[in-house]
Amino acid sequence: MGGTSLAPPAWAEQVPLRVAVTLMPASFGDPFRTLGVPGDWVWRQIFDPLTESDDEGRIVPLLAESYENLGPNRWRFVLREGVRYASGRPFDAFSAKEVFDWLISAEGQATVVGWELRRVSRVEAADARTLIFITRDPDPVLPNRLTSAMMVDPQAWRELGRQGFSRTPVGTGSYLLKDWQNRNGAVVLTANPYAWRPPGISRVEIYPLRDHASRLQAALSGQLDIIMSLRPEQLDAFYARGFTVHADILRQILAFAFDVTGHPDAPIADVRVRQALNYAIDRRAISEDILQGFAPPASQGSAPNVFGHNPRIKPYPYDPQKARALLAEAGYPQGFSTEVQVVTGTYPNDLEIFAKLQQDLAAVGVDMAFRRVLFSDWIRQFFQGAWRTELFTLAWNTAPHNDALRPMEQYSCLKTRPFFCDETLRPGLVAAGREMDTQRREALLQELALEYRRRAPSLLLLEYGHMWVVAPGLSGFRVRTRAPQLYRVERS
Amino acid sequence: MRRYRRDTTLVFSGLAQRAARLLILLLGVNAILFVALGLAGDPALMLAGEDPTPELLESIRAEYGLDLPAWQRYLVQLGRMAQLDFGVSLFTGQPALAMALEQLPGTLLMATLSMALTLITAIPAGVWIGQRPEAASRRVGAALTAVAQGIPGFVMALVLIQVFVVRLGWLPSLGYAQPAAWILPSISLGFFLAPKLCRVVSAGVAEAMQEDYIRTARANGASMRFILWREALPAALPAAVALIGTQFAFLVSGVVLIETLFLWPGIGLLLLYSAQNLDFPVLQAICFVVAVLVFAVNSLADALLRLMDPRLRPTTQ
Amino acid sequence: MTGVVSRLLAPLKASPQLALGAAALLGWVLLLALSGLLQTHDPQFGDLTERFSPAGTAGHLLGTDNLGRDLWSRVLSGLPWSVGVATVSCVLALLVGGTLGLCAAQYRGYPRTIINQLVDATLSFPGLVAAIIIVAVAGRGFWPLSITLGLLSWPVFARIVYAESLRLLAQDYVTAARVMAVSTPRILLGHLLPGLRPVLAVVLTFHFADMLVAESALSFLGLGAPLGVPTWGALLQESRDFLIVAPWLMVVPAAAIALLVVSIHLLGDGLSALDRARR
Repeated sequence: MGGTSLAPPAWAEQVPLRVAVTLMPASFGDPFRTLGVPGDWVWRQIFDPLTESDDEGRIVPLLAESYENLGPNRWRFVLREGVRYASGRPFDAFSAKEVFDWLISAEGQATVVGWELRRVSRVEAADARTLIFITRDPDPVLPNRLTSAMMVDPQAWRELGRQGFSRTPVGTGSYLLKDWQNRNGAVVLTANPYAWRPPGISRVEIYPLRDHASRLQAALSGQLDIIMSLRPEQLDAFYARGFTVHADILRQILAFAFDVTGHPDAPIADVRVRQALNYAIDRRAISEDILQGFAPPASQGSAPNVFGHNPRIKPYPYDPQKARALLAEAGYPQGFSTEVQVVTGTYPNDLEIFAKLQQDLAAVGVDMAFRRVLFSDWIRQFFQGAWRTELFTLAWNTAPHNDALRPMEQYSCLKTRPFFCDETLRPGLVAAGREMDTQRREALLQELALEYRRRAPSLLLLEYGHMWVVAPGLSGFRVRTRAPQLYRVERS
Repeated sequence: MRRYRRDTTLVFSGLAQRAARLLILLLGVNAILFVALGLAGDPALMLAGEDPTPELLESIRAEYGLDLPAWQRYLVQLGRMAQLDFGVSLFTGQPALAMALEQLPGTLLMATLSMALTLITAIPAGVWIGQRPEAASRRVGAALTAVAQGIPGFVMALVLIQVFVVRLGWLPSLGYAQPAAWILPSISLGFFLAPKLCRVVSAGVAEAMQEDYIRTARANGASMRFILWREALPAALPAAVALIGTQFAFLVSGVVLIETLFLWPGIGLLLLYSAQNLDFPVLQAICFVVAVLVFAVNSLADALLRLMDPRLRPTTQ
Repeated sequence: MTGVVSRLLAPLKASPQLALGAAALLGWVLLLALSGLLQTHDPQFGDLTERFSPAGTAGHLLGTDNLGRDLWSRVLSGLPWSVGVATVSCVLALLVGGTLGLCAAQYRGYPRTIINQLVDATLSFPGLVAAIIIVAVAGRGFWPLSITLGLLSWPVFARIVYAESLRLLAQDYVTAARVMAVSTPRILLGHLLPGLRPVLAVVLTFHFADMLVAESALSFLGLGAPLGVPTWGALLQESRDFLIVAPWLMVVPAAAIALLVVSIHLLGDGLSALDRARR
């Protein structure tokens, strides 16, 4: 168990690839119940969707070979040939149609992924390779939405039922599921004999190690090959051992949202106060000293590589004088006290970032108390739109579409129970949601980003993407659509 | 003969009484949990993802029967529970009780190992310290147990992993398949109980050594070993057994920490996930299993107590 | 006046252990009272350029943490919280558990059955679930934390008091008192309580340590003290991420807990030694 072996032994093929993630998908192999991570980490090894995001974050075909927009409400997808499910049955337009028909059925609409496709009214299989989507309203991000719709084997789905399927999922991915929890607590995947992308290493064990320290210790003792989410200050130990570090380019924007709707008389209802707080924090120090440069300062609600990101907007400079001046202008020369609710443990170093923020804000007279809440409590307030505090953690999350619009809609009157509702933004948001011309749409989104910057609806912090640490002797590791592409990994 | 019969009837009426107590206990735990979970949050929100619309929430609630009024849900659940059906997990769709039971062997294995470890270290150490608590070496021993007691089990686990896994590379920290991986979790979990047990035993033994009957026995030339193990230790045991009985539930909480650190496939991990996801059916099932388990251990502790201390036998009451 | 003092001091002279324990306790009380004055730095704010200074660095006796905050000042500022939470939860558990245990021992029939049922139900209820619910409903803070710990741990006292009382009630001197028609409250307070004292002293001392440790376990699960309060448990739990780069972050709060536990232990042992000497 000590250290990593030097030369790959003859039985190297039998040695599993050992991967540590933080969590397992709560719904096991049912890929429709939740969206994004942690499901993606496992599901994308077992299933493929029609589209994925490439190394630059652009949406590209995957199980489709190409797609085109035939009109505002009509899309044609040409599917890849010769793809089979792990059951041996062929994947084609007819089986894909069956999956989409379920997703847009009443039952499917109760799932999170089905709900994503609510604008789709009908799916038709023109022939074995051609799939036509007809939408109720124009949906410029339909290809983006399809990155989350995993192509399950419809026959297995039907025969096993949702619950049976969640235990024994069948997809077109490089791996098939052997065991959800072996005697070591790991998810075990083995090569899918029918895979259209056969894996380099035929056996994978995925360990859900939620505790940071135990991931670190297991990695340092050579019990793991690929480890997710370590603390930046510990990376030196890994560099010294020859590990490589890969950061996901699909970053989300860590931020505290201002509940302006619920606190119309609070200082934070004044845009100058919101701007002042943004000027008061030293993002560069947080980014460089605490996160060692892994999470750059955020400038807007989307990271570069996200469609609609506006490269002309720069992060707020650290300018405590300006912050104080703005506070004085707004009528708070002595500062004020406020409170923020945070959910902790979702990314490393969060407590340190909070402590530093508190310190920076105190320097301009703003006394910010941090109140830690459970996620279940947070989501209740989020849904009811009834926030107990003036600020709360809310990332500008462009996943799963990798498109700047989605988080903007959260910060708007379009949200069911809004916390920040500026009616002047509504027309732009609605237009961006319907605009089918890519260039015009990008311009609209960049314009919106500027508008949001002026209104400062959140205290922007950093751009954060998950970090993957890979042991020496492994090559080919890549992260796409937020998940590692394990099939590419080989022992060199 | 007469005596024997009286004892068996007592045993049987005792069993019936115990069964009734268990039933009341389970109903009580279930009811508390039902009310408390209602306060803790809404599982439909956990299932619905980002910014759910009311329609999506409604359909999710309808799917899981969460749309019924609370009293109806409670009655439905009671009726199902009577048939040992706790419903299915909101997240996996698997039967909740099966999920809990599936995780049980791992936890039982670790609990048994660490309990065995605790007993074979803490009792001799406690007797040794209690024999002459004023002696300098025993004082050091007592101070060490006090220090050990102040170290949280999770800290101990991390230190042990750091030394034996990371530095020395002797043992694995992951896995449950090979017995080598059982060592560190068992020791870490043992840290939740062993120092306390040692102190209770040493205090009891020290106390007993002052009693007249032991002084008499010593004066009459009984060997020290006989006095310690046959006279002093039994006097210390009731408190020790009572301690184990009360600490077992804490051990379950300790199990959560240790299972998290060692990725041990046990009931503690499931408890943590389910509690965070508000997976009510699984939580109910786990609490049911844990309640039965704790009850069994406590009954065993009671029985042992009666066996060891004749004055507590119901026959004398 | 001098008579009172010398009477109070007499036991200390008799038992050096007790004297040591009392001296240690006095030291802790002083630290507690002066914790604000003794802090050399702001416990909340640090200098990022000084992060991870090891113990012994000039100006930082015990080193600094991941934000450059002075560990000595943080340990001191966490002291009132840690000691307070442990004390309140112990007192709560002792009052509730002790009373119920005594009642269960004295009153057979329904009171005993009901109390024992309550003990069983509490013991069977996973503490984690209870802690999550209390945090969800009442939030985090000194009182929710102390009450959670107290509510989860009173059965310890109930069971031990119950078991010990049964043993004592069966003893000759109590039976004799019964025969002499001494009133029940007087038996409980006058005869039972003194008999319970040695075992309670031991249980209390280790329960106090347990509560210090339990607080850190709750912190580990994110259910402990509010953010920004450097309780020792929170310090320990935060330190585990830096086990390799800054081991002193774990050693210092662990040593603080251990020292406190040993002091309390000395005191408890001294008291029980005194008790033995008196008899």
